[in-house]
Amino acid sequence: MTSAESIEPSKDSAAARDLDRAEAKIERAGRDLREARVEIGDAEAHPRRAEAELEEAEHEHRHREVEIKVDGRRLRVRAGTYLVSEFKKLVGVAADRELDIVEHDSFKPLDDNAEITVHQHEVFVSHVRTGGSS
Amino acid sequence: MVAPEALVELRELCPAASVKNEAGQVFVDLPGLKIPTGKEIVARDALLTMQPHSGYASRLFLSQAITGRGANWTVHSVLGRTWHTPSWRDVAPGRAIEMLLQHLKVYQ
Repeated sequence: MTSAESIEPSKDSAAARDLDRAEAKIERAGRDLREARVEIGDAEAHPRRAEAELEEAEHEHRHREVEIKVDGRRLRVRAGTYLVSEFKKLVGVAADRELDIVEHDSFKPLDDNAEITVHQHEVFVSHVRTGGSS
Repeated sequence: MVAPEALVELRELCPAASVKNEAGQVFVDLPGLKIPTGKEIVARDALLTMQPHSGYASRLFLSQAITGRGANWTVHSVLGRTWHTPSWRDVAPGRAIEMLLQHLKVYQ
């Protein structure tokens, strides 16, 4: 009986230790789980943030001010797409003049109703609409 | 007389543009000028004069005629070379590049 009595408290303390260890493991697992959730959340948020930053950079790139040449004058305008008639107003070319763009050592007449995309360093030349065969 | 800045502007279209004189007549030599003809771009040596020549207020001569473009082509001898030019009137005076583009309209 004596020996049995001496064994029981020992069993109790071992069980209590096991229980403590188990509880500690559960707590650690809970912490790991919370951390994992935070990491997953970050991982999901980062691509969206990166996409947003990329979109913002693209927007700034598309609408930044660039240098162009019109009739020998260096001008700064916002990069982007313009209706030719609006672009002519912007760069001070009279509506009744024809506007050409110089591309690859050649020129291309621009219709007033067409669209022109300005990137940078484009060269434009305007001239009166005249000339005829005889 | 062709102003230096006019020549700079012409070099956007023809990098080798230079000024030449013959008997007091000033010409802008435009070797290998690229000329849009509507369906394609053809290259020709060209000479632009912004002064009256052969009954026109200004003229653009080409080393070879462009088939199917322009009317009443005539042949001229300038700077020791044979040149071809169509009849093309009413080119308004202005900057050299402006006049050149007006002359090139006949080929579009």
